[in-house]
Amino acid sequence: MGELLREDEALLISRSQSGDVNAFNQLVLYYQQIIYNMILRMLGDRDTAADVAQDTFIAAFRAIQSFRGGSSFRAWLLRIASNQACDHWRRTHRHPIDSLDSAMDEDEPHGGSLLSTLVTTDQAVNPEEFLLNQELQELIQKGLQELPLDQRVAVVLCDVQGLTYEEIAANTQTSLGTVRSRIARGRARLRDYLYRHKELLPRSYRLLTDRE
Amino acid sequence: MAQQDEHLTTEQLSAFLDKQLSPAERAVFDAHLANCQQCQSRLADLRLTVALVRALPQEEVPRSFVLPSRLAPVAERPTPRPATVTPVPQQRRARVSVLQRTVRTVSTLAAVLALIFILSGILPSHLGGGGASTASETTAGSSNQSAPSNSANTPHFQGTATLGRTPAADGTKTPVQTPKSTPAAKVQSNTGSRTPPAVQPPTLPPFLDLSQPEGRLALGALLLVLGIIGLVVTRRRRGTVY
Repeated sequence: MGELLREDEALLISRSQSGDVNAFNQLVLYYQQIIYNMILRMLGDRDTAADVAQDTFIAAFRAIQSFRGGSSFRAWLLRIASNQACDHWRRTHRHPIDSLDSAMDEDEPHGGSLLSTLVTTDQAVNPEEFLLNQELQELIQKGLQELPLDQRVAVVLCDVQGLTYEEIAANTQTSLGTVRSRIARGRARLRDYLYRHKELLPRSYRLLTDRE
Repeated sequence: MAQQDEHLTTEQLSAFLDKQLSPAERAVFDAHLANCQQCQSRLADLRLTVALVRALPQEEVPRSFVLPSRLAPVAERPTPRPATVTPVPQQRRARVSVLQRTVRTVSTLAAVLALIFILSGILPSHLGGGGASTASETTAGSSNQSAPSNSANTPHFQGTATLGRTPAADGTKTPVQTPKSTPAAKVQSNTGSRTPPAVQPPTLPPFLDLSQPEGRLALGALLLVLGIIGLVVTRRRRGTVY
């Protein structure tokens, strides 16, 4: 897909702002994978994610006049994407997980390196180079979907998209403190989820406990 | 010492992973972590959780999300593009174009009406009176008209004028003057009854009075302006849709 230079991006944005769809489509081609993956991690379903991604780009094109140069276009697109994904989730899930019941994921320090039971020793040494098998991928994805929306947005923006806390705060129109708290609670909840479902994982991922 | 006995919160652990602890927090954090096995393993778990999420692979897009160029508002040259049209954009575009079409139609109608009004305001005074414009003749001020024809027209005129008039103005003026002018001395009061139309403009905005050519001209001009604005706006609107 290649690199998109800042000046090129600025030019494409300004052409899009004067209504040039073809210019906008070049931006779409560059960002569609990021946006699609963001939504996919939020919603979990590929077909749905594709539809919502399409909606996101349509909404972005319509709102592009409101984009201010100088700020990150990627962060701006991600905001539209997360809004679209949240809207879709709320429409299709009548009984959203109550963010208040997240008390359960608050600091209950548990003994032992429980989650480490999930991964093999080699991978634990160098976690950045995980090659997740299909089951583990699905488990993590399901765990993400168990998170309350606000925590899910924060965790996905932070850990999937790599946005800074500041960018996430701007993105979700909240304070840094709120972002920090949401990310922490989301991660803790996900950790507990993964631990609760460790029996779904293949044997090879339980080496650590067996050893201990 | 007391600080070190308190276990670290998940938020501190999480923020630590993102290097988001303030220097003060960091000092407490380090002091505690060094001596607490439990928090060390909690940190390891959280770190692992984050690593697992980060390790989720970037998936390829199932299809391209480029927009159809028909969505182009000010598309200079609609170049043929791979059609990746989905039902959703089609619906939205349809809604927008229906709105546009409606506004355009209304604007066109307004413009046509405007021309009719303007023509009907101009023509009679030039052609010396068509059959349809009896009312306009009286007010056209063709002073050389014969008295009888004028008196015949006066009640007629007042009848139409009341249509456009506000009820308040109606109640105050007309009832007093009509009985005087028509049944009584016809020729004499005729010149007197000619004054109300001349005085009328103050009570009634001229552009509301359709019986006067000026009124129709004004209304026609107004409609024409509205029509043009409507057409211009819809043309520009296509750019900023929504």
